[in-house]
Amino acid sequence: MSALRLFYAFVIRDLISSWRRTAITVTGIALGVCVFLAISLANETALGEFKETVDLVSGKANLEIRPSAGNYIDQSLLATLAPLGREGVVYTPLLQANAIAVGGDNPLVQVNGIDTLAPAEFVQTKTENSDKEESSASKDARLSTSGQPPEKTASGSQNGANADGKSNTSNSLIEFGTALIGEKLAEDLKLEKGSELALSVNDKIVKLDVIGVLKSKGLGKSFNGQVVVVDLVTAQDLFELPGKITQVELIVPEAIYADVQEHLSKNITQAVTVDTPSARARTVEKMTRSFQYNLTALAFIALIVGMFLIYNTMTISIVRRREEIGILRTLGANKWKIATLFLSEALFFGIAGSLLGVAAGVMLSDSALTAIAGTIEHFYFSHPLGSSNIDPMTLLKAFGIGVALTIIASIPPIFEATSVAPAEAARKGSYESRIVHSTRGLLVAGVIVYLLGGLATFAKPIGGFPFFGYAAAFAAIIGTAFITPFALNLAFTAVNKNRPIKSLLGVEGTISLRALGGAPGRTAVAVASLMVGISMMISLAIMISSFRSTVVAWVEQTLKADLYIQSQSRAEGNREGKIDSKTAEIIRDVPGVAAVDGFVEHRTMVNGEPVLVGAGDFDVLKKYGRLRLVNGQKGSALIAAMGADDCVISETFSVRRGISIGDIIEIPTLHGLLPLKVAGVYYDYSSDLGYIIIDRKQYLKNFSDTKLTSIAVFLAPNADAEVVRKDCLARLKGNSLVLIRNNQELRTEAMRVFDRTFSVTYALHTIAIAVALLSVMNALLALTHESRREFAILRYLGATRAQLRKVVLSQAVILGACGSIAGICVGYVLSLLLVNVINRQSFGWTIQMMIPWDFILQSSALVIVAALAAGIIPANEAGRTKAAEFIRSE
Amino acid sequence: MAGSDILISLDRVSKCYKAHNIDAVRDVSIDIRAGEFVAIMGPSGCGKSTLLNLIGAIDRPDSGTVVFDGQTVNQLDDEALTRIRGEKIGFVFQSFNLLPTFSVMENIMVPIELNKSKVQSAEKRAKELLQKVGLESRAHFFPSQLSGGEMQRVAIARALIHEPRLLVADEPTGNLDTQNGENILQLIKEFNRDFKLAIIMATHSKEASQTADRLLQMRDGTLVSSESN
Ligand SMILES: Nc1ncnc2c1ncn2[C@@H]1O[C@H](COP(=O)(O)OP(=O)(O)OP(=O)(O)O)[C@@H](O)[C@H]1O
Ligand SMILES: [Mg+2]
Repeated sequence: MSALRLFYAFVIRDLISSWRRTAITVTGIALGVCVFLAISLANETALGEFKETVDLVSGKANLEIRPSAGNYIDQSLLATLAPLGREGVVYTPLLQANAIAVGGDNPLVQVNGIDTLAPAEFVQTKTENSDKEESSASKDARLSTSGQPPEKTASGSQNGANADGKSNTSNSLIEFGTALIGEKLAEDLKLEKGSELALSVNDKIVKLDVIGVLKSKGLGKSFNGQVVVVDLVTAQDLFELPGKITQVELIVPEAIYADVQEHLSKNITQAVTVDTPSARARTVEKMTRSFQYNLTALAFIALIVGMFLIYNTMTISIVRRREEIGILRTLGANKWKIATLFLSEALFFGIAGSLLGVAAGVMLSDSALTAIAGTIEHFYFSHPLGSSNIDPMTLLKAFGIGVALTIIASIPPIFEATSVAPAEAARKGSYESRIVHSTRGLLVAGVIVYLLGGLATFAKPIGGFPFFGYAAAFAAIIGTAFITPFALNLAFTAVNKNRPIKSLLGVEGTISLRALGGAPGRTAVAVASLMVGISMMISLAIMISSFRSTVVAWVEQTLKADLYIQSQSRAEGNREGKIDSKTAEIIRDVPGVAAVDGFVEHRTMVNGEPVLVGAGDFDVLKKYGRLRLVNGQKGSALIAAMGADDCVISETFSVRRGISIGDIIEIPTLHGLLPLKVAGVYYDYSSDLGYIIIDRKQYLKNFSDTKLTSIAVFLAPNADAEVVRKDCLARLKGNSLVLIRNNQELRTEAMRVFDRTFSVTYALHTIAIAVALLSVMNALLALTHESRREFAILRYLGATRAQLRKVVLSQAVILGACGSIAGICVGYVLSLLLVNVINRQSFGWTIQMMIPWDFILQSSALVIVAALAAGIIPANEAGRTKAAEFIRSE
Repeated sequence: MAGSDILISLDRVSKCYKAHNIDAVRDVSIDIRAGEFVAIMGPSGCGKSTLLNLIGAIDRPDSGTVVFDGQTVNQLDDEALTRIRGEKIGFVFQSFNLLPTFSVMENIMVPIELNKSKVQSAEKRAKELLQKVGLESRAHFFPSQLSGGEMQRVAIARALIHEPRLLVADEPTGNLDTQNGENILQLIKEFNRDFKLAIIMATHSKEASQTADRLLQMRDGTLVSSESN
């Protein structure tokens, strides 16, 4: 027989005739690949979009000057750059900040304040109705202005630049108070040339005249088209940042690149970093790394459960055909031929499942992106994340991983297939996997794997990623899978000897228990795959509920102020939206207000890694201290004892960077590096980047930002929060547009953010369970298929169809119950790893263990019901067993 | 021959495997009295097993009537057929068809447990049967630990545990050597005598057929002769 015909007869026909098994297996792989791909695409899109915006804004720039302390640079810096203009360096300042478009569906917009006289190399702002570059400055104009700071801004900014702004920008197309807007934004808000755009900037609403809609290319495409381009002075005016810019983009000829860098570092006195634009994307990558790695690891779970499914399917396929293999061997097929046959079967599963998975993953990627977008925007960076970018390489990678894992999972069963001796053709008996027969050997292997896993928990993370933590988790799963046959053997033997249990099970139960015990290999694999799925679910549930209860406790202990104020813009999703510091003064005078703590934060780099620097009013904190310190000390007492150059750091920062009390850390300020002594470490669950907290006085001395991120208001003992809130809003009217939450509202909001963050996790583990249940169904189908003869005997002996159905269903329940019990045990071990190793190494949080018994009970019941449901098809198949057909002696 | 003495009566019974259009049994009429031992012989594929399935209430005929102990089987549903099998009929096959994961004793008890009959008295009876087939010492062995002859003896004990009126035996000695085959026949004959058990047995062996009271010859799905021994 030719190889192809053999392949057809042996593989394809079998795949068709056991189409249910084929469908289940393909679906299982597809689910795993789909989840993995969807998450990968979402992750990549999130970062990719950010990078794209950086690229689009910086254009051809190959060097970028950015603030290293705080968020802004003074534009006086431009004077330092003037000599470079003569060397052929072109550059342009930029003020870039986010705002909220009033009335939009996706209200976050990026405002780019550009120098309208910038060299043509930079500004690519094509509007719909003109194809020529908007920066129409003549060659001469460019030469004359590129070297100097635009004089207009230096003078105009002092008094708001309102009156004379226009005249200063008369030679530019974007006049003061006018804006070009992105196509997407125009569509969203139904704006066109001549309309008015209202922006919520910090705690104000400002209006701009739309003078054109940008084509979706260049700058117009950045920030997903939710972009507003204004003149630099306009931007400075909007954001109340006179004379400030956020960056300078430079195009430096290769030949003098190094010289320019040197010149800049020597001559710039301000606190800046000079780096390539893509360095910014790297920072963002660093920030989101832990989040993304852990998400990907979670997405991998479904694939791992899928591997058990494959192993299961291939083992069934092979043991069921041991006799056939034996016959083929007698007829002259060598081991390789057998291996090739089954490998081609595995390949079929891998390819079909992965293709399906890739297709489904692409379809789901937008939902996955939506699911993580909120978390990314809240914790890491702001960028509109509309729809996923489908990168063919990622599709290929997911496909490859699907196929590769399928093959890997098939290797042990295929190895077993090749070990079938020709003589076995003649031998009849139970179709059982022999690998699993050596339960003792597996037990030993399992214990060894466990020990190795235990050792792995002591290892340090690699590049911030808890590689060994995951290895330990994997070891716990594999170890348990190895031990499962032995444990089941023990359990089944015990049950068989136990009369009361047996009479409880009834005949049907006893028969099913026997059938399961008679095929320990298959039973063990089914139980193990269910165990894997359930253990993941349980461990994540324990982790999340522990985390949640820890955060709830933390929120209650730390969010002690009575009212919290943030700007309207921030409340609507612009994380940069700030409040004027005068607002705090106004609030302080409201009757009933006892104290006001203005908080401000900005991101900075310490030792090359991002971290948040925050400042609070230590005078207020001394009295109303709300920090919970890791060493149990009282927060207010610590603050009171702290010197001017002391700081408090969050646990995350301490754990992830290995910094403890007494250590000195240096943070970049306007005046260079400021050494700070760590006086205390406090619990914080609001950001995994970590916080360095200093006194507001110190902050004002070292950073230019006088605005506030939020204000905590402490009330006098008998003041009514509602009355004070109304009073505050009334006094701020016209001055400052803010959102005031009371204590309860803020706590609710904190928990909403928490739950949103973990919603993806829930979705992912639900899918893993679904794959595990497919595994159970697969095992039951196989068991039923192989039990046909026994079922036929039972029919002769007087068993009714209903009884046979009961036998299969009780098998399902037994598998479900065993899987649940093993899953809960392993799930507990995994949750310990997640909480104490993986999570701690990734994010540095201390989490108090809390076991959600109600969830565990409910989900176990659900799993058993689901297993029962998975048993319905095989049960009906059993019920249909025609006695006469299988009893005939072959 | 008194009418009430008839245990099972087939009247012009036919069975066709429609999918392949094979008339396996055509127009067969037989009466089997309580306690009678009937053997069926005939070439392979002539329809013996099919006929036994009709007699044993495994299958329903396409036409004709089967009356078992006064009950017309044709109209009965699967549930009722199962009940008849569970209460009144025992089966023995060429391949012994023991449940591999059940011990000897457990195999014998399965019909009782399936029918939820009185387990206590049945256990006593199982022990007696085991003694009768000479396997008391093997009660806790598993099928894989028994010889072919022993397995068939367990199968007979299992077929008789619920005190059936009829034993359907399809080539019970087919897989056994002459000596073991004879022993099994002896055993069947004994039960036939001692328990007034009716037996219908398909066989290829002349010697085996001679143990029976009556011998039917089949060819191409029909009965061609009937002779008493
Ligand atoms: N399930 C079935 N579907 C189709 N045809 C069948 C089926 N079972 C039996 N047959 C056909 O019916 C005929 C009678 O079969 P049966 O098994 O009754 O013969 P038999 O006399 O018992 O033969 P043997 O002595 O070899 O056991 C045969 O031709 C067989 O091919
Ligand atoms: Mg036959």
